[in-house]
Amino acid sequence: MSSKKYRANFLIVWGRIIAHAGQNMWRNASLALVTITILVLSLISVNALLAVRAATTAAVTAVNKQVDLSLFFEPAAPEKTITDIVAYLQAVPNVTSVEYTNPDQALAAFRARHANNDEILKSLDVLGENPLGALVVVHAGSAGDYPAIISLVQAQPWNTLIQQRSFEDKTQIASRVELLTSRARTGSIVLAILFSLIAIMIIFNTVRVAIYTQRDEIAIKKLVGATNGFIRAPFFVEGFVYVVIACAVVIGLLAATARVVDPFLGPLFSDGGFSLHTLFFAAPYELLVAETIIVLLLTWITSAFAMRRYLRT
Amino acid sequence: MIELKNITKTYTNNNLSLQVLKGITFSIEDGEFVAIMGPSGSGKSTLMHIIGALDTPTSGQYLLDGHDVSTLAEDELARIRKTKIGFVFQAFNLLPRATVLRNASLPLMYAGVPKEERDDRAKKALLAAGLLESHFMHLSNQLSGGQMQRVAIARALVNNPSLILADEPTGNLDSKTGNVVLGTFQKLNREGHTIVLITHERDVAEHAQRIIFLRDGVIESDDRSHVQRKQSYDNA
Repeated sequence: MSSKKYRANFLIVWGRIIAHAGQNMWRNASLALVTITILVLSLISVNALLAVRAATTAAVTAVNKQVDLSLFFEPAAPEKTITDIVAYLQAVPNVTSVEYTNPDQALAAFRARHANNDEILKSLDVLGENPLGALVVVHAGSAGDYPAIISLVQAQPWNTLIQQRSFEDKTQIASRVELLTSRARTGSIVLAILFSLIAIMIIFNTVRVAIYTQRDEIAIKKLVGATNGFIRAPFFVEGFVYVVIACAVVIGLLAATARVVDPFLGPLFSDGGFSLHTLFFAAPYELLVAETIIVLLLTWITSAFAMRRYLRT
Repeated sequence: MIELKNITKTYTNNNLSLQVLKGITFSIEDGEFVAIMGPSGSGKSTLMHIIGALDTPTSGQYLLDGHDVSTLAEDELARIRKTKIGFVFQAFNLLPRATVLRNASLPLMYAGVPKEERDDRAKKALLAAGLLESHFMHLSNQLSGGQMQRVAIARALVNNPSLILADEPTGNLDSKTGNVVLGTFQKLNREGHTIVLITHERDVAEHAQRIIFLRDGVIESDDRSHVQRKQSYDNA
C-alpha cells in the first residue's frame, strides 16, 4: 500500500473510531455522566487524602524545627574551647545547625529581655561582672536525633564545662504529630486503594453495560469484517474522553479549593511549609500529570477486561 | 475454491466434550450454488461458522482460495470475512439505527474505502439486490422483512466476495417473499457468485444445484443431481 493511500486509510479508520466513540457517548449519555462523576469523586478523595498527608508532614516538620538542645557553658570557659566545640558539633551527623552566643552577647540579650525590670538590672550592676557564660544551641534533623546527640555531648571531656543543658522537649508533641502522620499515611493508602477499587469496579461495569447494550451491533460489525481492535478502539477513546473531562473538573475544583483554603492555612504554617496551591499546581505539575496517566491506564486496562467476553467470536 | 479436509469440531465444557463435526470433507468450486442441509443438531451451523471464518476447526484443514484458514488468528479471520465472504442471516443482522445505505456500505468502511466510493458501490449493490432507490435513506428497521433481507444481500455483495454464505435466509420471511429472495440468490449465482445456503428445509435447498446433507456431524449425502436439472432450467 502506498504511503498516501495508507495515510488516507488511517484517517478513515480513525475518523470512524472517533465517530463511533462520540455516537456511543451520545447514546449512553447518562452512563457517561455517571462514569465521569465517579471518576471525579475518586480523584477528589485521593487528592484530599494527599493534601491531609502533606499537611500533617508539614506540621511535623514545623514542630521539629522548634525542638533544640541548649548548652549553657561556665562563664570561665575559654572562648577558643567553645568555638572548637561548636566546630565539633557542626560536624556531627544529623546536626543541621549550631548557634553560638558568646558571654557578652548573652548578657546583652539578657539585659534587653529584662529592660523593664529594674531589680534585675540593678543586681547585674551590683555583681560588677558578667555572670553569664556562652550559649550553644544545637538543631537536629528530627526530634528523634536529640537523645544520641545528648549522649555524645555527655561523653566528651568538655562536658564538665557545661553548667546547664536544656532540652526544649517538644518531642512529645512531635512524636504525637508523627504518629498522627503515620496513621494518616496508612489510612490514606488504604482509602486510596479502596476508592481506586471502587472506581475500577464502576468503570468495569460501565463499560460492560455499554458493550452489552451494543452486543448485537458488535456481532454484526465483526461479521462484516471489523477487527477486535476496531471494536475496542471506540471504547478506549471513550475512556480517554472520560478521564480528560474528569481530570479537568478535578483540577478546576482543586484550584477553587486552594484559593479558598490557602489563606486559612497560611497562619498555621507561618514558614510557608504548606499550601494546597504549591502541592497541586507547582510546575511541572507532576502530581496532576501522574494522576491523569494512572487513571487513564486503569480505565483502559479495566475496559479491556470488560470487553474481553464480548469480543470472542 | 473451498476445500474442507477431514474437519472436526469439538466443544469442551467442564471436562465434557461434544464432537459436533466428525471428519467433514468436501470441496466447492467457483460459481457453485450449494445447499447444506440437515436437521437441528446436525452440525450445519458449526460448519457454516467454520466456512465463514467465524470459527476455526479443532482439526482438519480448510482452504479458501488456496489459503489455509483453519489456523488463522482472530484479526486474520476478520480480514478473510471482510474481503472474501458475504453473509446473509435469517435475522438479517442489520444495524437498526443506521440507514439502508450505511448498512450496505458497512464492510467497505472496515476495508478503509473512502465515503464517496463506499456510497457508490453500496448503491450499486442495493440495486443489484433488487431494492428501490427510494428506500436507501430509510432506517433499516423501517423496512419489511423481504426488504431487510435484500439489504443484507446487498451488504454481502458490496465487497464483491468470493463466497456468499446464507444461513436460513428465508427463515423469517413468508413463502412468497422467501421465493423472491431465493430467486435473487439464483440470479447472483448465474452472474458468477458462489453461494452456500444453510437450511433445514428441503424446498429451500431445492433451489441450489447441489445439496450436501449432514446428520450427526457427518455428511450423509452429497447430491449433485440438481446441477443437470438447474442447467436445463437456466437454459430454458
